[in-house]
Amino acid sequence: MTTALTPESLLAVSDVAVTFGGVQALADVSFNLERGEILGIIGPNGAGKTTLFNVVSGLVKDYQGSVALGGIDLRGKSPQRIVGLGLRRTFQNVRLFKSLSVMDTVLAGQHLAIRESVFDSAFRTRRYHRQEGIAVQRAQQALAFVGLGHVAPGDMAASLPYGGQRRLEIARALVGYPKVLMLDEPAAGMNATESRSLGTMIRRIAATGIGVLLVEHDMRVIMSVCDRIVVLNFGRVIAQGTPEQIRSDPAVVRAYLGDEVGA
Amino acid sequence: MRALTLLRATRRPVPSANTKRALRVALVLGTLGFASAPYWLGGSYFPDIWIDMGLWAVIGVGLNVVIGFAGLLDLGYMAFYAIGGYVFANAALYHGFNLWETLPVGAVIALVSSAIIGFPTLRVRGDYLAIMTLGFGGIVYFAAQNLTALTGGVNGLYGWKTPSLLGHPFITPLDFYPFVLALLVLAALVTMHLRTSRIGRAWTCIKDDEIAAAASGIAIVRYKLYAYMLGSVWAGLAGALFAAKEALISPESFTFDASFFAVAIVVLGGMGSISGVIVGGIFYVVIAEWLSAYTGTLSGVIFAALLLLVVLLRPQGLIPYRPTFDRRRLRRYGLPEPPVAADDYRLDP
Repeated sequence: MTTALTPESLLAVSDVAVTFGGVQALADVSFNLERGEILGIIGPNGAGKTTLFNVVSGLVKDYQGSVALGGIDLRGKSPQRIVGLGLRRTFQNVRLFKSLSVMDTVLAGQHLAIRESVFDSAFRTRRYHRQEGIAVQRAQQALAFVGLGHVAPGDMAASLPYGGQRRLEIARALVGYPKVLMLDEPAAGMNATESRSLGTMIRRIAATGIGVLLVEHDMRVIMSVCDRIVVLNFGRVIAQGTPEQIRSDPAVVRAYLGDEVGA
Repeated sequence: MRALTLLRATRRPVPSANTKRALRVALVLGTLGFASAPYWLGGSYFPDIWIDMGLWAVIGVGLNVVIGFAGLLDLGYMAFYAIGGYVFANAALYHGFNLWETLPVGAVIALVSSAIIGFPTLRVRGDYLAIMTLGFGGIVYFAAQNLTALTGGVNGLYGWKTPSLLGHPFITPLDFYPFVLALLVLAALVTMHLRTSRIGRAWTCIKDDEIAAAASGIAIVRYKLYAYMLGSVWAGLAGALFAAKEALISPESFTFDASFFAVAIVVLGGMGSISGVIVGGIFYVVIAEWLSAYTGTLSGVIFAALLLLVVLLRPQGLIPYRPTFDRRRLRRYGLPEPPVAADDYRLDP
């Protein structure tokens, strides 16, 4: 595998390996992600896609190799530190806060951006009102961006339909103005129309300069949206390239797409 | 069984604006009437009961920050009540401090001690945290019994100069009552403000899902520590007022039972609900103290039975907390014309 690792890449993953009690979950995984780029990560179930996300976002700490965000090594940094450096993610099984409203969910996503002390909060100082005002307006923008502009802000996050919950999770991540956004199967459970508009939204996110890392099973989304694709199988990168290259790569067809063709 | 199902939270038809206004007026008048009851009921018995209600309500409001907001089970909460009480007693007895000078000191010491206790304990989760806080409550109780130099041992501390303000001495319970009430109002207001702010949202996130909270940039352990501290400080203040009113402080008031009842008040009233835990504190005093005059130890059984009923039929508590983002906040902070479609989005407004 020859990957030109440029140190100035937005996200540089090099030679990452993870073992879970004798099982090689990831081995020699290297790739990089640039500003405004959409990088798809595909592979059969158990190929190590979610493990890779967990390594990058700091949930899996025991790994070999290195992950760097904007030139800063992420090794040993806690998940919230990594968020502070500009990385946000969504989860394969939507993880929203069940006792927060739609608006408060997106406000919670701005935790690091809101500048108010405990004193400001407790006694409702001018700074509190100013900060809440900025945060609410940003939240309104982010909600509109993900297509939830029409939703009543006071509705509970959990009361949204499934597709809406996925969009809300993206708004919560997006409102932190990340450098890198990692989406873990955002189209799961969506119909063709919904996943098409999701694809448009992901393109729009990348157009603002955010680097998007996309794990997805829906091949229509992957092939139509991604600039480049990394294919994992049994924890290893078996192919890397543009959607056209991946489509015709014999190793990929054998390991992954071949199953679909044969089915 | 029909009567029991009526207790369940049911979806009622939306009342009209007039009904709502009438209900609100009735609620305000009722609250004012109830809060001023010691003045028109007179005597020293009623003020005493009302002070108890106020102090237990403050305890409920404080513990509600820890349990209701941040979702941390604290079984040793009354340790901070004890710390506040003993700080006041020592300052009054040996250093001639007045109550008003001691209150801030008690608050600061409750903050510092909760930080010291919370720093190592809040790294553990769930059941383990409950056990560690239980242990801390036990340590403070036995320290109160045995550290005679500081606490007077089982006999406790007493005999300090009567607190006074502007030359007016504080002798009867009615003298203390306004300050208990003021503390309750302050505690309720501050915690209500905290709930709908950056720190309160962080607590809710931690309570609901720690992994998603960390993925939003929230420092889990630090915010748990803040919850523990900002909850404990109210117990410290209430403890100091309690010792001043009783003119005596002894370990009896800080047994495990007391910490258990504090948790029961929060669960009974409604976790996260400020008005709920205040009602919970009042309920507890009515049943555990007032009723015990007629029924003796049976009052404990009644309280336990009531708690069971609430947990079974109305697990959200007597007055459940209903989180929402209300229109008033939206009008105040939101854009005049919020964007609906994605095209209106700007990356950095």
